[in-house]
Amino acid sequence: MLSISSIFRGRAARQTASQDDAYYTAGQFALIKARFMKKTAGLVAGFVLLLMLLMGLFAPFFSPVDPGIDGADESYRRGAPQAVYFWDQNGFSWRPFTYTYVKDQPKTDFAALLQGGGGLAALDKLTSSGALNASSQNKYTVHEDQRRYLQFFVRGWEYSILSIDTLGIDIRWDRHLVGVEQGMIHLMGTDEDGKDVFSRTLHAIWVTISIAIVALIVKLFSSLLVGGVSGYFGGRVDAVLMSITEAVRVIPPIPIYLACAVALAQIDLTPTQRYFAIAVVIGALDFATLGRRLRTHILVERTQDYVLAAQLSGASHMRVIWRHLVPSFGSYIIVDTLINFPYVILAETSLSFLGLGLTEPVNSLGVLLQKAQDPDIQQNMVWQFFPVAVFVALVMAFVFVGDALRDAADPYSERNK
Amino acid sequence: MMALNPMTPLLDIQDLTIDFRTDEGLVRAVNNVNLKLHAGEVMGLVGESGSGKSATAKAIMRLHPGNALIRQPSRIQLHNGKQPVNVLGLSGRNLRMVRGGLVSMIFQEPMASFAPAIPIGEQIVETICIHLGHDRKEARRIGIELFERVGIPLPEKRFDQYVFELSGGMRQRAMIATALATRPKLLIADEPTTALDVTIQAQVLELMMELREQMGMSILFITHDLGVIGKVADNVSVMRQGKVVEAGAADRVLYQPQHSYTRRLLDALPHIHSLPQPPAQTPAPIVSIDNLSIDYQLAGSGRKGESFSAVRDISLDLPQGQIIGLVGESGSGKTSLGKAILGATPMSQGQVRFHTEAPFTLKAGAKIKRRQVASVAQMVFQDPYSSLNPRLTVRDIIAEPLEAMGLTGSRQETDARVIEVAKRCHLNVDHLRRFPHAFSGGQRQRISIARALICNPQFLVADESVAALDVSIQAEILGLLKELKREYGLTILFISHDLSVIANLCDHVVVMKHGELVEQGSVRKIFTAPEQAYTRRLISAIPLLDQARLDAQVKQQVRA
Repeated sequence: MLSISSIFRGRAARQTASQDDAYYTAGQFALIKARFMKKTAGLVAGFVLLLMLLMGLFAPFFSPVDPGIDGADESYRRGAPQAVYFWDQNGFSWRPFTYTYVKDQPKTDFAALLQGGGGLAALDKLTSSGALNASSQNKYTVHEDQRRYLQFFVRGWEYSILSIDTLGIDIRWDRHLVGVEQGMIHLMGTDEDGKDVFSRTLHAIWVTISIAIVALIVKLFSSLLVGGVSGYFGGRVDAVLMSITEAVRVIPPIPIYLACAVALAQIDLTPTQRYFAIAVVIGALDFATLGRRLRTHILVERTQDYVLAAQLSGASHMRVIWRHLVPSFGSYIIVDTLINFPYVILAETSLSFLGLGLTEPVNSLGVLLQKAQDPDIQQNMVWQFFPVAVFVALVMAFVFVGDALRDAADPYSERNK
Repeated sequence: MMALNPMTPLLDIQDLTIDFRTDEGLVRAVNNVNLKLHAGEVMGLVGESGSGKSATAKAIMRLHPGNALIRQPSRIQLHNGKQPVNVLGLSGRNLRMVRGGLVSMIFQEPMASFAPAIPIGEQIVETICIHLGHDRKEARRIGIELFERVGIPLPEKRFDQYVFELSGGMRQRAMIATALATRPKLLIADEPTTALDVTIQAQVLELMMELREQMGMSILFITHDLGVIGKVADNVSVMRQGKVVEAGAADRVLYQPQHSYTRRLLDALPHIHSLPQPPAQTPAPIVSIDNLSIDYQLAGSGRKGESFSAVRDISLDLPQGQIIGLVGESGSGKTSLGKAILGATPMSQGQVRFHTEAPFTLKAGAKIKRRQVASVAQMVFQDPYSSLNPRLTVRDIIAEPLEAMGLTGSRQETDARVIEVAKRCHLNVDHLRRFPHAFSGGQRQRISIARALICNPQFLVADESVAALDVSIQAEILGLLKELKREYGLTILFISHDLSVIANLCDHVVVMKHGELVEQGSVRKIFTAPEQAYTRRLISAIPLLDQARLDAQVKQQVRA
């Protein structure tokens, strides 16, 4: 005799159940997961993505140096990346170490300039000597005998892990994954202010992703509203909503962004708040494509017999929509959102390029990418291309995961097999 | 036609074995099948879905999908009049000459077999030009001649029409014309009449037999319907799970079946002469339909008046505790009527009265009291795949009416009800946590029935509920419905185009045509003494085995 609890809540029974049973009782997400696990490219990309997201989310912990102006290394401006070694000609060390890098002071003999009685000839001599060239400012000396050993979980500047202003929660910590005993370590060099490029990039990842998340959530909400209502009710409601959608669709986005930027400039906002406001606008106006797709999907799905069955079972409109229709395109929404992530990140970067988005000194991938366009950086500080590599990797990871997930999603599409 | 040694078979399939590569590994679809088909012979290939009959037929034309592996030492030998060729060894041009030249094929769904954006005639002209080498003008003449021959009225006009402009029967005729265009020696017909109404089916079968006489071709006729086989086939092979379980002359197999599986298939045919006597008194109705009409606004017409009348002025009493068969050809409005009774399709006129404990009436134009209807009347759908939400567990699907209407107090109570109903429908209660994808069509239909039964309705509408199922599964579901009627006094409105199912299941039959009620009466009366000409035509079109011989066979068995 079977007791009710053993059938529905038998966790123990579930564990002993056969493998077949695991397949048969597999829900939507379990099936998607099973298929996703078979896709190597997607898995690798997923791992990379997860790693980057984690590093972005806990950027202060993973960053060896404070990315703000407070953490700028004044003695190591425009400094090259500092390599990490385990051994050199002075011997092997279990603890990885780097050297003491000392910036060469430009040998500008201002005294001579003055002593010579000034004059253009002396100035000319100074400039033609190359001492004032940007490239000569990058010179540094490596003191190989002064090892700087890497320390783990070191104390550093204080940051907040979790802070919710409204609840008054602000958990602060000052440990960092790596650091050196004296001075700072610049794994990817520094910029012209002496700010650590590696730390800035890590912080930028999360800023960019959080903006993308805001834009996508707003977009999802507006798409669901328009597409869902349009598809479920159909008829005249559908005709009106779709006309509006088409009208919105034909307006090019850049003028809207420009208008928003001007309008928002009137309000006193911090750069980040301003950008979040623009993200909200982008998301709200971008409902056309996804909204239309959702509408089509619901139009197809609502003619399925199981929807009629639910209606004949006495289910209300809301119950039909939420319990039966929305889950049917849940996987679709997730996949679509994931595939759209890189586009939103691209939108952020292109807005920054136009000077509408975030600007220095905010850390965002768009800002860092825009900076990399500077000829000075291209010629003299190639290490500032590090954020470009991270950006490409991030976008690729999103694209690969999104692709794999799209293939893995909706296992029920083969329902007649 | 080329003279062929009568002893040499036209088609000789030897030890055909086909495996399919699937996610779950290799699946053997066809297992060591041997078939011989002589010139001018009609071979019936009988079996249910998954029996390998279509895989066998497709292998003859090398049309099997890419994941199929044909195992050694399979041979499919075709005799083209000169020397035999092994189809499995052909490629390129030689293969194309076999396809469409020596062998033609017609399919179950003619709509899907024609290109929708090219006129039908154009598609035939193309075939003729390629295989017979005529110019387009000559090909067109031949094509129109063929249209005439397969009985398409106004062949010149139809020739330039598109597939959607023709009715189902016309499409199948056009399909046959295309298949015959190249004068094939072998015609493979894969369930050619399954999607057709019974009267159209009779016409198409007759046409095929006529053409076979005239053109002397052989036909490999694939079907699950033994009645059809009895009408057309000389020899029969019965397939099951990839193997031929019984083969022989049609008379022998149909009237003296050896294999239990063949007998089971035969049992699913209607036994018209043993229909039950109607009860002396018709029970009181549980649902009364008064002057019901349903009009559909035609798509794209915003103005009033342009509408299509699906059901016209039907009045009907559905007697309590009976299974009422609602019969009609496609487009007769039977599904619209069934849905309107449940309030799922708006009526344009009339009313439906429910004589339940708390009587209520659905009126045209009035708001439907969905929950009131849902607690006494439920529906079982045709398609067991689309009618179950694939994202809910079976437990959740069955419990949906209870939960949607909040009828039970606690989860435990709901679970107890679900288990009770699942047992009643012979579902394994251990499997309630599974999702629908784990179940076969028949089991899914049981789930659908369980969902319909959970709030103890008194009335069920079953819309073509066994049409998508194999014959033996059909029998199980019909058995379940009968059991429910007997044990719980359920009234069932059973909508079907399949008269043999109706004859096996129903007490009372209602015949509809073009939205109007033609005739109603007890199942015995409708099948043995129909009053209306239309009903008579329907009944006589059912492909049946010779009743006298079947009776003799039963007597023989009794004696033995």
